[in-house]
Amino acid sequence: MIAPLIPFPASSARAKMRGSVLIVALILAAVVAISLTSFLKLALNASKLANRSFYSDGAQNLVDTGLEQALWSLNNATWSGANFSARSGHAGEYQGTFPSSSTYYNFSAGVKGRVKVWVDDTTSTPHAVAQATVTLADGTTFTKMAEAYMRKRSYFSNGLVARDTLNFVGNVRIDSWISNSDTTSTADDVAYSAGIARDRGQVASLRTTVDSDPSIAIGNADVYGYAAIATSDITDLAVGATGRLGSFTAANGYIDPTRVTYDFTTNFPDVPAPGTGGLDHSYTIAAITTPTVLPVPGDLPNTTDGKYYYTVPSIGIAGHDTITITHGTNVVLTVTGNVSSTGNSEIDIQPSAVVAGTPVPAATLAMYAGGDVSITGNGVVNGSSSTSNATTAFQLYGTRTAAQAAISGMQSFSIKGNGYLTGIVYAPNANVSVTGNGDTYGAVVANQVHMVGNGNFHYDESLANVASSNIWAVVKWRELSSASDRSTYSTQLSF
Amino acid sequence: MISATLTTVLLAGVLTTFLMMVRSGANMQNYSELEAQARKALELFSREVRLAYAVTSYSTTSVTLSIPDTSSTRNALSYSVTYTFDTAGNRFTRTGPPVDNPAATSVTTVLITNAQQISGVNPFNYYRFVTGGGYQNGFTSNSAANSTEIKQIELNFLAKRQNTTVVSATDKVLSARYILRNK
Repeated sequence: MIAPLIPFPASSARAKMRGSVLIVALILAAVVAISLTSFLKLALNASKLANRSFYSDGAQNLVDTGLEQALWSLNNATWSGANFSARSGHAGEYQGTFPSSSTYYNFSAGVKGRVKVWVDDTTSTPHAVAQATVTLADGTTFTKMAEAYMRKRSYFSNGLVARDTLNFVGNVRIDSWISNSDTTSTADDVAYSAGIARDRGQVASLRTTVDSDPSIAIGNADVYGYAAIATSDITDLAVGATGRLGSFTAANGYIDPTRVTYDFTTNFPDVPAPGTGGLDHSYTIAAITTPTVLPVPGDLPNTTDGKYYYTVPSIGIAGHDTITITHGTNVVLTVTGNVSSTGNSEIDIQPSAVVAGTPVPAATLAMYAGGDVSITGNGVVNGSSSTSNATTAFQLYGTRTAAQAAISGMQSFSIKGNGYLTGIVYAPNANVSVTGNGDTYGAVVANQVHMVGNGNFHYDESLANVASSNIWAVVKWRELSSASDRSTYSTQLSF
Repeated sequence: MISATLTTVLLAGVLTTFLMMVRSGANMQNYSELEAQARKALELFSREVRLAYAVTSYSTTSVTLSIPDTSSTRNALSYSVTYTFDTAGNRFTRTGPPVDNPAATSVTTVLITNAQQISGVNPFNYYRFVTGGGYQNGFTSNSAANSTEIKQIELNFLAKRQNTTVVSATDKVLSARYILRNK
């Protein structure tokens, strides 16, 4: 007898159970696998994000490196020296790839970067655009772009600046206005008037000594503007009972704390007299002791800038002697010795005029003094008796260096106006005294500044934009992050 | 019986591992989201701080910056933007026009949610410009005394995420001191 077979249904149930377990196990394994994959993917993405973020900062640094190359080239007056080349077909434009078109800055882990720079040097504010590209180890790339506008620094970004002390004697008013003297055109120049005065006059001292003497003694002056000092001591700013520092609404004896900064810092670079080596016309004349007209009739200006260059050992005028700077001319006068003007003598910088039916612009005088300066006769007449020339029409520079001053002491400048005094004074190694029987307009930078008299001082804010030094600086920086911003320079950077 | 017990133990192990993995994944997702939000917020904030030429108002929880236009002039206003750390709403927000469309209407955008102030640390700190890395003469701190002095801004807060059964994820955001390059 044949044994009965295991009934089919019972065998099928066990097989079904085994199959169910297998399916559940497979589903579970699939879920675990998906979870694990997602987990790993998430971890990988987080790692990539961190990596990109890290090297994004690196790209930012590369962009700045490119802009620094442009700034270096301007300050050193060479484009080829920094491996820039002229842009073909575009005069005054330059381009460069750093470190070079065949090499890279190497970061860690196989990451490398390079920066392209394009510079437009055709205006007084050269424009540079940098594009940094960072290539990650996996071949992906990303870019950062930024632009910078550069300009020669001004010595006069503050109104009255002293390396040491700054003080006022008299019940004077200090405020500001915008004259537009920084523009080439004189048609838009604006003379000061009470109606356009601003409460943005600026006084500053770099003196760091903390003692009983204030660095800035405002006294009973009304400083409508700001003060910058270099110590933590508010008493370094001394205001008398009827003086004030603040807005036009500041009360007597009040210092507006929001208008005082304690972190003033600046350089006082020595300013040399202009060299004559590269000039096609310049003249050395005898000491001026009698009435003199400059330019001397028949003399020629330097061709490239149209200025008349003179070197003189000293100036000593008295009585009714006058040094006249003829309208329509720009004179650069280097005085190696002292300047003295006494009695009723004066330096007359002629205003604009109409000569034979033709408008002639005002004269300008830039005087570089190596010795002491005492213009205390009738002073400097920068314009007519009633209407002033631009503040930049009279520029007085002290050329004694800091090293020379350490040996022979500071220069001494004493300047006076006649009715008014308009001009700018930069003498970092001189003690300057400005005496006004009328108002003074412009800016003064010196070792010590003494404002004497009852004349008010009006700082010309436009002077902050006058390229008075040969030091280039970035005046505006902007990251180019939008697509439209970037596409603006795609042609210039396609090299 | 033995095989059933072993299977149960094995399945329990697998299930535990799975649950732990899910919890870790959720936690990691929280961290990842925090990181992404914080990076994006800091990127935007740092970009506009670097670009700003003036601080028109400031406090420990808010700062308003003046952003220049595209011209070569440093202080030609394009738009104003305010960053606020909302301690009540636990949010870090930006109020201003879109970065790529300055002419558009100003809107408030939430950059970070569930943000908290770090105990004893102000969300915004302001510093003056000091050369040489030390303190200005007579000072023991470089904190700016007024808006005119502000040259650097720092941002600090704690961002937090929490899901049920998952431990909370926190990200302490301590920014660098961003320099106002155009100020």
